[in-house]
Amino acid sequence: MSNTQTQILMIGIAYAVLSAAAAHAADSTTIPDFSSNGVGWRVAGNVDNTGLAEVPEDPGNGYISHHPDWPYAQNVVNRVGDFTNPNLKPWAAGVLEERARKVMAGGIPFIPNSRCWPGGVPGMHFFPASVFYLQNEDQVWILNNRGEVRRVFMNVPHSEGPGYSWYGESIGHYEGGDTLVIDTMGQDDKGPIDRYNTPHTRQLHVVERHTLDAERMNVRVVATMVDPGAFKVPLKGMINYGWSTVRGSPEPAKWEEYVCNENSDEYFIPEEELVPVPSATRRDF
Amino acid sequence: MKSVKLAHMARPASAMSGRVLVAVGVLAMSAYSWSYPALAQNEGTGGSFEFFVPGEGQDIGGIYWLKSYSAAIQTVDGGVPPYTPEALAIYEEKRARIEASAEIIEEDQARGLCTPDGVPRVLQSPYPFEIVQTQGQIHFLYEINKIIRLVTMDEPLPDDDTLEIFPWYSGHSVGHWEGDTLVVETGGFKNYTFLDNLGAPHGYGLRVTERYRKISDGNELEVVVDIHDPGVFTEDWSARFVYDLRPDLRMMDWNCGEVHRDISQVPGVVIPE
Amino acid sequence: MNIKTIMFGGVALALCGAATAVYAHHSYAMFDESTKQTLEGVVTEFQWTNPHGWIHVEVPDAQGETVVWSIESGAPAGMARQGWRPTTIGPGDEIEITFHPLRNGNPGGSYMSVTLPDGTVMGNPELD
Repeated sequence: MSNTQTQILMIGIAYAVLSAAAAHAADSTTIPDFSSNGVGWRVAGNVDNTGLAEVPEDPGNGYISHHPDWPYAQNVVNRVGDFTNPNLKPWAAGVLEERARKVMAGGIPFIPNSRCWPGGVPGMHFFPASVFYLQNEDQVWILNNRGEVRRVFMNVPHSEGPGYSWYGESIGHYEGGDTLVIDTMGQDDKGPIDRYNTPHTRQLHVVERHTLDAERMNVRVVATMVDPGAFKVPLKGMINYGWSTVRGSPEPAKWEEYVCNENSDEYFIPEEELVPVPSATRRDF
Repeated sequence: MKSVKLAHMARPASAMSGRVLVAVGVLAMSAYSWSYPALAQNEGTGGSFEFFVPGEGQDIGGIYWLKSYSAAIQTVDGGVPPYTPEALAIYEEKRARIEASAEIIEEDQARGLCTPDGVPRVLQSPYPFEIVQTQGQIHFLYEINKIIRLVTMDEPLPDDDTLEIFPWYSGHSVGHWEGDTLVVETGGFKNYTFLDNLGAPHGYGLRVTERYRKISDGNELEVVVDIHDPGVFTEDWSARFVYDLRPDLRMMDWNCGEVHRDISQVPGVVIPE
Repeated sequence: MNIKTIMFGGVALALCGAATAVYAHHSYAMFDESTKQTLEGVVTEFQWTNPHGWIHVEVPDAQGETVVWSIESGAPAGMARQGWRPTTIGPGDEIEITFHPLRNGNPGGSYMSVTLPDGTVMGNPELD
């Protein structure tokens, strides 16, 4: 071999070795680091404010979007859910239609995050908030600055009869060196699965894949929602997280306490048109 | 307690372009921003997350539940906090109304709207809480009212201006270890909170220092909390709370006004009729 | 086409049936930003909150009754840039407040300026 050829060969071998090393470092034993350097993950790049976006490699997957005659436009057209979506069972389509018609007639839609209600799964992931992941060997905590906390128990099966709660019971494991897979059951039937208040039952079973990109600056959350009581097929949607700024601040969002209930009085809208914020009148203790 | 009235800041000359106005806004904004530490970041791509390992004697992660509840906060000697006469009158007025009925009084946002209890009131909560330690920070996750307190480790508190302009219900917290004791300093509280469950008042100048330590062979957690609030108290004073470590528990979700965990077995808790 | 065009230029054809049912939460379209109104009154509450604060002012009306006007202010960061602090005003303070009124005539508006009891002017009382 000539010197040049040897050099090329050596470079080629070196490249192959380094690639293999990099591939090995990102293999299935690697645990993805969602800690985002103290910066809060925020929803980025969802185009039309539906809450969920189409999964690129799985288009036409049936998440509920806006009614075709009522394209959502902020401050102009309120959210009207597509009750004609063929993936909804008749009773669910009926409930969604009732909610939609109220808005079409000039009513104010119920927006859970505006009225300080819990988001549940996957709801809390499309609420406007800064999201943080905490990881230890037994658990992952996903929390946001609205006070919502999800606890994911790692590498264990679901318990018998976890009951029903706002966030259900989540179990998880890591895959492929870059993905956190979460399986959630036991949510009550009141939480939002999209921004149109599409109804669901307690049978809702959500599987999410949270995939961290190589630069650790984006998380792609793909949620598959199975509910044989409400949907004919699994609904699937995507939420993108990135590092983005908040309210004109030049810096990516860090932890900042946000207490929804402190500013939930709507002085300009008649009280009877709004769903009340969660509140209490009698002491528990 | 009002601060000195401030004259409005000089407005930019109207000849400035929109871009420059934004830049001025940005500069002004950073005067009010604070920075949390750059947390350890794994180098390069493919870096694996490494679980945080606490130092020797510094493992306080877990779920805890108060051993004994008292609606009124007491000093470590079991006495009434050293209120000024004016503050004591405010306390006694609220206390009378709260004790008279199970109906939540309008000023008690923490019970009526489930806004965060503030500190030290949250420390006497009869519902469990969880401590999660990760690199450079410690999270206190309370079951009651979905309260989350972030303690940033080994950084100074934000400056007084920041604490005044951005008060939080739970205040801003920073921490450091002194041997086996976690010291948490908190300031910048909103004034909608009480110091205890009977309406104990505080002022904007409230500063709280908590000292956490595992005791009883690691089965209990103790916190001694120093209260500094000149103008409301005649001197600084301390309270103490003790919690059982409860690895058998799972934290529960919370939504205001709904039925929550049964706390009737917590000593000192009286469930209203 | 921007939102202002849609709002002032009539309903665009693409928005069949959108009519006038605009949900007002956090929509600044509900204020008439081409005009201003100034009132004198007594502060009942000053809320220093995110994403925006509130100045509630008790104002006597023509009949001598008092009406509470609710004026929406900016978030703490923006207000602080003007020199505001959470304690700048409080219940009982007599102030003059200038604001863009609600289009529907209800007692409310969006904050432009406040004259404090000592005469200090916060914000900008002029329509730019």
